[in-house]
Amino acid sequence: MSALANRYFAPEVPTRLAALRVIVGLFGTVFLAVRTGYLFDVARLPANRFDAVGPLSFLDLPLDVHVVQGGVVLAILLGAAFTLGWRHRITGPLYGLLLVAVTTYDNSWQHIAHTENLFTLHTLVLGFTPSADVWSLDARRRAHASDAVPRTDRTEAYGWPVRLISAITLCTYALAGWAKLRNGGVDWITGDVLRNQIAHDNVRKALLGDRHSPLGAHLVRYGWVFPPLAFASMVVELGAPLALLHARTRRAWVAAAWLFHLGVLALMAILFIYPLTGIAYASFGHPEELWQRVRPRSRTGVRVGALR
Amino acid sequence: MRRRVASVVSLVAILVVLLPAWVERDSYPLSTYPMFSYPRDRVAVVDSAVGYDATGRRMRLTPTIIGGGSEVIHAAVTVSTAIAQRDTDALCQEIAARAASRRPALVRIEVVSETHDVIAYFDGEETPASVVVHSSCEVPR
Repeated sequence: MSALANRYFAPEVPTRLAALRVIVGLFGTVFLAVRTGYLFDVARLPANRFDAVGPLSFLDLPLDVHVVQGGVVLAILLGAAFTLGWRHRITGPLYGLLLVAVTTYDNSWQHIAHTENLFTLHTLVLGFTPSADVWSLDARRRAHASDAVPRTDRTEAYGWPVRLISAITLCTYALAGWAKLRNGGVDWITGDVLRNQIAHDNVRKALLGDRHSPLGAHLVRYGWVFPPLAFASMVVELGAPLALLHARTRRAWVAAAWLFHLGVLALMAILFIYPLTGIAYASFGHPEELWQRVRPRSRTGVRVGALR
Repeated sequence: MRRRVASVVSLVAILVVLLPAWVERDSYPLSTYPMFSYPRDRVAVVDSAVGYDATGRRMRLTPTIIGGGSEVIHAAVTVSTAIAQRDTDALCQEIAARAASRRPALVRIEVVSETHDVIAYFDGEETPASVVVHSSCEVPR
């Protein structure tokens, strides 16, 4: 138990948590901006289509369209502030909570999409932890205000939030695997459940005027394809906690989970963009090294930009 | 002290994320992630809405016209919920209003449940085994 605690609380460089803030913040801000049209469209739906969930369950009626529009625009602005690390102690928690509110409202129209849960939970962790101590406008302001040395030291405070983000990711996969086992039983692996699900999803898309997956539509003719795919899906989802054991199993699990989502895209034309971009798994790696690889060099060949 | 606080925060956060599995209730942002977990038969009822032009030709609509948003699953759930709540007349009118500006023009909307063999569908058997029309309404001009 203490070994696990020591690993969980192992000191970490501040840049890792900051790198997560930047990429998760950028993802959320762009996601909201791109989704603005959809959010404004559903906000205008008749009140009888409204079915508030989660923290908005207290709402009996939809909000005024202008309130929703204002909330979305404010969330985008706060997302930009969060990404840049501006007044993080205020904007971090505010953005996290407003993102929960906006995405909950988005899911309150008789359908829970399950595509926004993970990045919203990750954002909450990053919003309430010191993820803007470096690589942020706050850090730049502090450096200008005093001769303080930029924070580059490894501490516990920068380590456990990264591991909490990873743990949340693994929990969501394990929950999805558990749901399949509970609702579909062993038949989900050995029977035709996955095949029929993929066929049904593609037929539904065809009948509702959306693009379906040609590969999925072709493969559903061959029943033998699906039990191995179902087994592999179950291994990825229920096996998620194995990623905690060792660096090698962690890398293998991340690769398998990414391939799983690629398979979902190929067979069902469903784009889980957060995992497919790799951002959902950034906490398992060294996201801070990405920046160090791509940032520009000075004329002397020395990398520019201090660890602030 | 800080480690104790972080331990409590972490433990509570993880338990809260896992809680939906215990209470067996899907919601947002906490979820049981039940996507595609339930058994399905290969013969399935698919709820949808279709349009007819002036010549009587049956035409598929888009998720935006059916559900009011661009997401297909949202459109599907909207139709299924309206059928379950016996509210298809209102949905039909709603869809007809959205379809009014569609080109080529439609004259009538139907909210339907089609029964298909979902495996055979992609082998060319696209004609539904049965169609139940829940509501029919004119498209406003």
